[in-house]
Amino acid sequence: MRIESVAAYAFGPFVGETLRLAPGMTVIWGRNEAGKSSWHAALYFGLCGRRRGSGQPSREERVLRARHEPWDGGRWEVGATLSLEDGRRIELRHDLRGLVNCTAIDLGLGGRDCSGEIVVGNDAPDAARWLGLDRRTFLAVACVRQGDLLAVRQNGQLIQDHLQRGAATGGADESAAMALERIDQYRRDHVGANHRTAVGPLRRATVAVERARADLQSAVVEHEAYGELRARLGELEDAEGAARAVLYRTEVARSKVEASPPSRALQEQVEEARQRVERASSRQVSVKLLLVAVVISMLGAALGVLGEDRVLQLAGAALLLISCGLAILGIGRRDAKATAEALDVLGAAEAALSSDREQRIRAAHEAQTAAFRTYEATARAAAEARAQLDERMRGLLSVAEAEEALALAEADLARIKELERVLELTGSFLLRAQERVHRSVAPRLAEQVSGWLPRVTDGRYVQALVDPATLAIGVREASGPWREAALLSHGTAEQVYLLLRVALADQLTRAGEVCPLILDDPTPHFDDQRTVAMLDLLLQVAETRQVILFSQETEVLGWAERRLSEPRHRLWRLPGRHLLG
Amino acid sequence: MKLVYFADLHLDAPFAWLGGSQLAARRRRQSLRETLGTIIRLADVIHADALLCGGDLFEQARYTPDTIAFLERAFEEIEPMPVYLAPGNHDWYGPESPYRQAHWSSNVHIFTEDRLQPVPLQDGLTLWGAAHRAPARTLGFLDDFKVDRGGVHLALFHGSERSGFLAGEAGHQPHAPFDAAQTERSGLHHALVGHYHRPRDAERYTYPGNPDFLTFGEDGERGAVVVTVLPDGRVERERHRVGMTEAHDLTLSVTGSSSQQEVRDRLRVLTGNRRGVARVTVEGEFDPRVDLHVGDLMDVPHGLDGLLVRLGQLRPAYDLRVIAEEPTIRGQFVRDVLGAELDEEDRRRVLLVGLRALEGQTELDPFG
Repeated sequence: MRIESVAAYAFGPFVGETLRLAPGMTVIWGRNEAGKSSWHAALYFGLCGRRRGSGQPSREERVLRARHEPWDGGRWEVGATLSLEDGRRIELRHDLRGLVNCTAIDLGLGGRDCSGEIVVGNDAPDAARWLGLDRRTFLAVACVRQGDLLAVRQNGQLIQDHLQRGAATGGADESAAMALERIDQYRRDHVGANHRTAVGPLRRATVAVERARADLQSAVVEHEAYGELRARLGELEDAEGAARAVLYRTEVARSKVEASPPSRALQEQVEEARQRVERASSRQVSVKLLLVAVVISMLGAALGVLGEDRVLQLAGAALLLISCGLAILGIGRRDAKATAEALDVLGAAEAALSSDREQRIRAAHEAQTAAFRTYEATARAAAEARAQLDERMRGLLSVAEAEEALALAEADLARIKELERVLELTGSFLLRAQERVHRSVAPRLAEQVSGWLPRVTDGRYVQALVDPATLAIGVREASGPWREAALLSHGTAEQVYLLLRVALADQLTRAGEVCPLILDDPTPHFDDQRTVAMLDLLLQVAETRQVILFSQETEVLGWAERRLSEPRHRLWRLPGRHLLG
Repeated sequence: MKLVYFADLHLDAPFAWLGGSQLAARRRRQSLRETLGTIIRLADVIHADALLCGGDLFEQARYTPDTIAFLERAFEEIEPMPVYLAPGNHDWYGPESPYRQAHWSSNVHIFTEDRLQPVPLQDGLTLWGAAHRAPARTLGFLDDFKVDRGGVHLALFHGSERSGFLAGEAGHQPHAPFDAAQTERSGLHHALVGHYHRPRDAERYTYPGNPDFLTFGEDGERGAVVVTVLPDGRVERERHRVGMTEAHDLTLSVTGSSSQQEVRDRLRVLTGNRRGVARVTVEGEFDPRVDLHVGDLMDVPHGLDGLLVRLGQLRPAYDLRVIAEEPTIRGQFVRDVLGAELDEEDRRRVLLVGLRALEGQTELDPFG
């Protein structure tokens, strides 16, 4: 690709101005405030346009807009005419404000709009696409800013960093190593370790799952215990009801016993015994005594009548008295023994009668007491179970909520583990891609730089080496040891960096196309000799690609006046001061 | 004879898919109770002869004492209308079952045997019911079953009609399986069956479907079924929507969104004045710089009972074809990932994380 001209229709301080560029090397020289930066930006926007898309513009876009948007608020348009390696000539025109009227006209095909070739998605046309780049990578690959060289001068390590970034993303973004470190850092921040003392997200999520699992287990156990207790209470309430029924029955039985008459048989026995006692205790005539009394009275009478003497008569009278006594005894005698026996029987019968009633009442009482105790025990057990149930109900955890909490915790843990897996997978892909590209690009970069190195260093360094693992750069003298580029003198480091930029641009540009090189005041820190050497190098580079160099150095102006000749090359002196606004 | 039949209410079911919103889950459980209230009012209003439940009224492993008290009161309210309950695999009739322990009003009849038992509904009309007595491995109730009397015979149980199982009732094990033909062979005129959540009106059996929303993906006219039993044993069925939950399965396109705030705004507009529950699938092409954390999107203010946001077919607006042509590590990375044997979700995430890392972004996992 070669940029033939840049047309600033309305851009920054320019209105309707055109910058014509040579196919080889163009030096655009001007003093401060002459408009170099504006032309540099016009060149970039004329080629790549401005990002079309929703969302907030990046910081760089905002800066560019602030610096180069016409202040009158009117149209903001820029364009470029370029020729591609396939022979086509394209006229680009970018409506930077509306981003609508952006065209890429193929001048060789009667004005066909070929912007579709360089539009991705909803974006505006971007001619860097023809190079296999985009507007971001074009900036990183084709444009060498003064700050880049200054940074390399201050830190030679940046050469390697730039190479790594270039190999990774064309220099537009991070290097693969930085991306891998970023992934690693992200894993530390968002996953972390999972050992016992770890405190990262993975450990926290693991602990949360364990806790939620334990909570669910507790909830389930509590729920089961509640169910068991409820079932147990049901059994106890059944038993309580049964005991209450038994108690009621015994109460009724006792009342009946207490109200019931004594046993009829025993009552009859008592009555009989009582009669017997009565009988036994009544007076009875003793026939024997009466007979004895009669005999004695007869004997007494005989003695009294027949007795002659007074003694016999007295004896007879005595016998009569005795017989009278016996007769009295015989007539009114009571049988004490039988009475005693009858009384004993009566006592026994009465005792039996009494005992039988007491026993029956006692038995009824005892039955009632036992039933009451049973009821009391079952009622107490039921009450206790009821109280336990109430207590358990108060502390009952919702199983459903515990399950939901566990599901949430498990989902969080699964998400983190999934993230860990994706990060590992991404890291492995990125690492492999890095190794593969480094292995491929390192020798080609080394070869290309080695071809130019003796010329730019006045033959001091003859060979360059690029480490495929790290893309670290080394150079060496004809018979000397390898030296890290980071440790070279400032000037040499800048030169090596510039050579690598050119080499890298070749590596990153689509096959068949050549990427122009645009340099913004690259030599302010060079001594005269190295400035000339660098410019000579760029002139050689310009044999195969377009080189556009913006400068305010008088040494550069002098060199350009001496060395550049049209039509292959051109020196463009900016006419005067283009103050913004 | 007019019956109101429902099944699979699943009181106290967990709603883990709501993403851990305890309040939303509680609302869902409350909504299930309100649905039972609606069913009971329906039975009352149409002067049904009986209310029947074909199992999974509640969840044995999760029921709360309050739920049982609620059921006791609910069925007591319609006394003397008979209520017939046939326990299912989730509310199986075991020693500790609330069915056994609750203080049911006298109008509640619970089938407790694992084989069909008869209950006369009226002269010449017998209801055969059975219970699951274990949470699994319940044999088919119609295996070796034959009615033993004349008249019209209905069955009420929780079981799996085999063709339905083969048709892929997601997440349902074949509990108490039966074939449609068994219904007729056994002498039953119609079986009122629960278990499958997808409603189905077959010639000889009826699945009412879960009456209120349980999860997304439920289709069909679900609810309570008013079953009119004709003298010849045929039934007329009239479905009534009783679940008041509005479920919205929505798609949110993020194409063209330039920030998470814009996505949130779109989500707010999408959920707008909707009520009930919504599942929002985020799809489309998104700016790779936009962070689409699902957790952040769930925070969007809404008037729904529950909001679930999930990521669908999302494509970061990288032109992978162009990047793959780069001779850079990024290009190589994209080529390698595109050519690798990965499932598409992995491929998408790996590409996104890798490209964001190479861009130097701090948030590598925008969907995390």
